[in-house]
Amino acid sequence: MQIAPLYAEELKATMRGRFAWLGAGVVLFALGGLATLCTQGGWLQPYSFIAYGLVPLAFIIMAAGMMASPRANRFVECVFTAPVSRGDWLTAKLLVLCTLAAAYYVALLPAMLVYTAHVGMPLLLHKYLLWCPCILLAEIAIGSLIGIMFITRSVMAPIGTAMGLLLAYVIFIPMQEVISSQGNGDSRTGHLTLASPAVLIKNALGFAFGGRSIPSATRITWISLAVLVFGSLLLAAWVFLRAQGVETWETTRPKRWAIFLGILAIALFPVLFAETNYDTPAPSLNNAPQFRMDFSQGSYATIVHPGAPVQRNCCRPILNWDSRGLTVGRRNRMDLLLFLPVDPAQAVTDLHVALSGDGLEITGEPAALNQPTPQRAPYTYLNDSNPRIPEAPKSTAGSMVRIPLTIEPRHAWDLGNNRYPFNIVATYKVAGDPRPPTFTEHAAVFAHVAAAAQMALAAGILPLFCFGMAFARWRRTR
Amino acid sequence: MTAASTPAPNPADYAVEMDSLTRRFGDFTAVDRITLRIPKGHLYGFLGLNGAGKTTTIRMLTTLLPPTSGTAKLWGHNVAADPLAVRRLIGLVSDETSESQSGWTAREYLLYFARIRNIPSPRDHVEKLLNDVGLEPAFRGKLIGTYSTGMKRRVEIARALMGAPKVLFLDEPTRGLDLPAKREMWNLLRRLAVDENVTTFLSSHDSHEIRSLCNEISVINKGRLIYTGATRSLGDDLDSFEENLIALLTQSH
Repeated sequence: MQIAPLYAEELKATMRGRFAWLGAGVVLFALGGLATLCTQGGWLQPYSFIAYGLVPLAFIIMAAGMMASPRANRFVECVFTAPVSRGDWLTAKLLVLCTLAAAYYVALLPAMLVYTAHVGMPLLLHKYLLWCPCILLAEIAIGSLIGIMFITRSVMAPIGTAMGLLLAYVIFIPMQEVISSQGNGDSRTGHLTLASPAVLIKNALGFAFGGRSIPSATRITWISLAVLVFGSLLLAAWVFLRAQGVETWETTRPKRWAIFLGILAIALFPVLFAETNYDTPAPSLNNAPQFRMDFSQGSYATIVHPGAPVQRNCCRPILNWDSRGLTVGRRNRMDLLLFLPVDPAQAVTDLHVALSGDGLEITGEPAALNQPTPQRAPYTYLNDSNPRIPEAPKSTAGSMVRIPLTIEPRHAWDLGNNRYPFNIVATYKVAGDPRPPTFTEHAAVFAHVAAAAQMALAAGILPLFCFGMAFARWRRTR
Repeated sequence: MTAASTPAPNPADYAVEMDSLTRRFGDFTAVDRITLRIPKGHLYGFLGLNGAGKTTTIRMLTTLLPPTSGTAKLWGHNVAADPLAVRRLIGLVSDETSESQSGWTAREYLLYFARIRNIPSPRDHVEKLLNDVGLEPAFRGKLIGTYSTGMKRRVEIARALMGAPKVLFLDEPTRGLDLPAKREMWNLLRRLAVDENVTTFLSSHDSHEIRSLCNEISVINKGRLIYTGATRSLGDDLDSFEENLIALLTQSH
């Protein structure tokens, strides 16, 4: 059995490339840096899409290059004058590519584990974890076919072809989401987007990034995917073993037609036959509550640290926009500042405040939430920044009431800042006004899952290992 | 002036047998019906102008290129039908193919081939080969890309000698080597022929090298053999050898 030593040697050879360890380190370092940065905002969408979607798509370039380079640099002359079967060598090469893909998948695990420790496993991450290996496999198959089809003294042609396909595959993802959301999923362009394995796998797994609908049937989509992946692998193997010599094309006219028709079938089958019946609503990607806010309107409330003054540009629908400071899973003591559009000279009585939140436990002293004669401080809105809440009168001068609260955000649905709905209903009486004013505020608060340090640590170990290996190899061979 | 090679009495004594070996690339015939037999243990010279078909012939004999028609056998194994058996018997030095792995060290490069050949104690085998070709130990752990042309050549020759080949195909094996290294290489090839019955198929433009090493030669031009016979038949000294060779090649043009 020749495959085992070939596989082992080819795998070692891959990392002997002059910049192999350095390149791996740079890629993982970039991803680790992104994973850490994304803990300050949203993690699931931006980081995961790049780590589990875009980078795996780039394996098409690696596969094409790895298949083409031994012929481009004539290394095959040395290999195939040793007692090596070409079938064994091709198998070993494919196994090496699969191993590198698996190593990449494993390299993402530490960051993913930090995420799931804080957030759990939302649907999108679950889908990404399936999407990623499917993309890796598809890209290895297609990339290998490209690499084998080019027998040249330079790898630029196969790499350029792979890069072109990669760009098309990436562009087809948002294109398909937009087209299917517009109800044109079965248009010609909609069908064309199914040429991208990323789109096919997404449809087959039944999720959408921003689109509103997914296909209700996926059987032929799965079959199309199988045609694409196994068709590419089989055609690559057949071309390599039956239509090519070590470094030459050895074809006849029927073989050339067979190759042409094979490529055509692999490319067109998904486009023609994969399902485009986008009539099932797309599932929610995470556990975040669905709510809408009108950011064009201001707010009658804000949340600050205990005793802190109000911000100058107050107030926004995200109540703690300026002060932040809420940590998920912790009881956070904050002050709710409520602005009553009442002249400070007018008497205000019987203030009752009711607070509710989604994923939040809000507790306040009953005496602070129900004040017969609220303690007020005068407040003037600057530059006509007073809110335009329909049921409240427009006023530039008002008064502010401070209400101490304890807020405990629970159930994070992402790292970084999660938005939790925060509802305020306030009623009070104004002297001389027979109708008690009421206002309702549908706002939100940011609560932070602090995981930057953990993420940096988890995502930094492997890049450092790669840099260490690169340095060690440089020291050893210089 | 063309002469057929003298057939050996027993076919089992031939290391290389070609029978109407032909290779075409589209309409172009690179090698045209070559018939040649080389006995075991011979140092055999293969001469021709650039583009004459030498490399194509060697590539067919080393299983890198399938013949369009005709047959070629090494130690009785058909190169087209049984390439693995042929590959177990051969070693090839062509252009600087080790340059392709310039990011590897000589040890890594040779260990790769030792291991895929399942050679026992591959590290010891590699060190022995590197000793045989005279690569300084200090350079063995450095990247091939930093080597001189001669050092790269030694690595290539070491790879070709791996696994005790029965037939060596050498394409300009001493190009880039300095005079002492070239002499060492010639001695090594002679020793292999005498002690281990290794057949060497030597393609070279160096008349001196061919005359020094080979008792028999073939000359190829435009894909056809135009001379096969004793080296000395073309001249007793280097000058007359080269003059006759040039006349042969010019005449056939």
